[in-house]
Amino acid sequence: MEQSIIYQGIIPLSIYLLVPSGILICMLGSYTLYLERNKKNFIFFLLSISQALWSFGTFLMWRICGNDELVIFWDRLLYVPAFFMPCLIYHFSLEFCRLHSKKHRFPLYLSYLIAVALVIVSRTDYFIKDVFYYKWGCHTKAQVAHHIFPVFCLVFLFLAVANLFKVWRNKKETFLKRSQAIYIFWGFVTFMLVSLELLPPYGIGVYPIFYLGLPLFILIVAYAITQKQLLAPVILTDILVAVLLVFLSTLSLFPELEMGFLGKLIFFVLVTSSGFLLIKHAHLELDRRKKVEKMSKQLKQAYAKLKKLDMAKTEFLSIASHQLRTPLTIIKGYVSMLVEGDYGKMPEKAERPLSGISKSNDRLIVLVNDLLTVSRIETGKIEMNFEKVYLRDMILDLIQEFQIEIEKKGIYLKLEKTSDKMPKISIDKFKIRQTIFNIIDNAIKYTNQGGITIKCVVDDENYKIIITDTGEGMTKQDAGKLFKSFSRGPAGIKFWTEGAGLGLYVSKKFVELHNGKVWVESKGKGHGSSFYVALPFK
Amino acid sequence: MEVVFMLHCHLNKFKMLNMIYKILLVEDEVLMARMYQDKLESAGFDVFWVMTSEQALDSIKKQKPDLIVLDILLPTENGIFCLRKIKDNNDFKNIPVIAFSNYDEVKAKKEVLELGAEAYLLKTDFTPNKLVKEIQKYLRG
Repeated sequence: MEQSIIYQGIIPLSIYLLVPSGILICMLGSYTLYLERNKKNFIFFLLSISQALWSFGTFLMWRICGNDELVIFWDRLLYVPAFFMPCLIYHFSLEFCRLHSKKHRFPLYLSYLIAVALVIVSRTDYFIKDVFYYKWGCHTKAQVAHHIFPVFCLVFLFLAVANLFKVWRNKKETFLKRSQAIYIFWGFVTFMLVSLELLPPYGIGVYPIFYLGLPLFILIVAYAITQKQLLAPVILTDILVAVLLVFLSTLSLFPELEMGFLGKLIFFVLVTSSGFLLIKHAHLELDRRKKVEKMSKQLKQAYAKLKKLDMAKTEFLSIASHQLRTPLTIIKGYVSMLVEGDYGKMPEKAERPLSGISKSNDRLIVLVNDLLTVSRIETGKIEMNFEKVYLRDMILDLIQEFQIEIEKKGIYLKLEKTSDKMPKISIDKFKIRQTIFNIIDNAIKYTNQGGITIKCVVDDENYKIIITDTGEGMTKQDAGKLFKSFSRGPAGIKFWTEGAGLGLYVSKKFVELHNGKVWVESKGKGHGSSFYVALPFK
Repeated sequence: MEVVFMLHCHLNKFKMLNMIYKILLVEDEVLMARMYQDKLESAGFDVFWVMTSEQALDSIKKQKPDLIVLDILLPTENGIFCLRKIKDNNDFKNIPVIAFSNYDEVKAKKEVLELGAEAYLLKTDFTPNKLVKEIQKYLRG
C-alpha cells in the first residue's frame, strides 16, 4: 500500500515518447536495410529492432506498475533486447570503422557471449527481485548478478565510441567518412544516457528523463542519414513524414495522454518545425533541380567543347603525320632514284650506306603510320570498310611481296594447299592485309633457318590463318607481352631490335575490330612459333 | 644510215611510250616537286609543275594535260576543291587524276574516289619509279 501511495500512477511524458521513438527507430532500421542490403545496415537493423522492443516493453511496464508479479515477469523479458544493445553498438562501430582484425573480433565474440550469459542469469532471482516504487514509476530491484550489466554496457559503449572517435580524428579518412563518424559518435554518446535509467533498480528514484536518449539518438542518426549519406540514401522528407505520422497515431492511440503545457509546446514545435522543414526541403529540391538543369546544360556545353577539341586533336595528328611523311617521302624518293641510277651509276661503295638510309627511312615511315593508327584506334576514330574477300588470294599476293626478302635470307615462305575451296569472308581488306603482313614480316625477322608456313582453316564460326615459323620461338612470358604496345621486356630486347613494338599491337587491334582473336603459341626458345588469327564469319 | 634509222625508230618508240604525254604535277612542296619532275622528265613525260589549285586550273586550260598528279593538302584551296572543279568541267572531266598525297584520311580518300579520281596514292608507299609505273598504267588504260 505504502508503495502505491509513493507511485502517483501518472505515466510521465518521456515514457509515452518511447512508443513513437520505438516505431520510428524500427522504421529507420528496416528502411535503410531495404534500400541497401549490406552487413553494416543489417547490424543497424538488429540494433533498431532491439531498441524498439526495449522501448515498447518499457512503456508497457509503466502501464502495469502496481502488479509486482507481472512487472517482474515483463522486466525479465525487457532486459533481453537491452543485453544485446551494447554488443550491436560495438559490432556496428567495427563494421563502420572497417576493423576486422582478431584484436577487435575477440571482444565482439566476448560481448555476445556475455549477453547470452546475462539472458540466462536474468531468469533467476540473482539478477532482479521484488519491485521498487518511486514517485514517477516502478522498477525491479537489482540483485548481485545485475551489477555486471551496467559495467558491460559502459565498457562496450565506450569501446564503440572510442573506435568512432579514432575515425573522426583520422585525417587519412575521407571528409565524408569523418563527418559520418562524428554523428554516430554523438548518437551513441547520447544513447549512453539511457544507461542512467539503471539508477532505479539500485533504489534511486529519479524522473525518467534519460529515456529521452533514444529520441535524441534517432534525431542525430536520422540527420546523419539524410545529410551525410550514412547507411542509405534516405531523404529528409521521408523521415519528417514518418515522424508526423507516428506522433499523430501515438496521440490517437493514447487519448488519455496528458501532455500538459510543456508537452503541447513540444508537440507544437515539432509539427511546426516539421512543416517548416518540409517546405524548406521542397524549396531545396526545387533549387537542386534548377542546379541540376544548369549543370546538365554546362555538361552539354563542355561535352561539345571536348568533342571539338578531340576532333582538332585528330586533325592535328593527321596533319602532323602528313608533315612528318613529307621529308620521309623525299628521302625515300631520292635514295631510290640514286640506287636506280637516275643520277648516274652509283659507286659500289655507296650501295651499303644507301641501303641503310633506305631501310631506316622505311622504318620511320612504318613508325609514323603505326603511331597514327594507334592514336586512331585509341580515340575510336578508326573507320572500317568491309568487303567480301578471298583471303587465300590476298595471302598469295603478300607472299609475292616478300619473295625478294625470303630469297635473300635463304628461307621458304609458303601457303599450304587446302582440299576444299575456301569461302569468301567479309573483312576490312587493308587492315587484315596489314595484320598478316606484320606477322609474316615479324616471322621473317626471327627465322634464319627453315621457313614460314601459312595455313588457312575454316570451321562453322571462324576463318583461321595460322602462320608457323621455324624461328627463334619464345618463352610464355615473351608471348604474353608480344601484342602490347611498345613491348620491350628484358627478353624482348633481342626480339624487337628492328621495331618500335607497335606492329603486332596494331595487328591485334585490327583483328579485334573484326571481333576476332589473335594469339601466339610457342614451345619455347628455339622451337619456333605459331601465330593464329581467327576472324569470325559474322 | 641504218644507225640513224634505228635511232629514229627507238626514239619514236620512246615517244610513243611517254613523250607525247603531258603531265600536270600539282605539288606545293618544292623539294618533292623537283624530285618527281626529275623522274617524270627522265621517263620522257612533258611535266608542268604548279603549286596551287588555282594555278592548276589555269594550267589545265592552257596545257590540256593528259594526266594530273594532284596533291591534296595545298595552300589556299585544297586538292579536293581542285578535283571537283576539274570534274565539273565537261572539257576536262575525262582527264585522269591521280590523287597523290600523304594525307591519310579515309574520309578524304572516299571523297576523292567518289569525285572520280583514278586512285588515291600515299606518297610514302610510292618511290618516283613506282609513280611512273602507276601513271603509265592509267595513261594506257
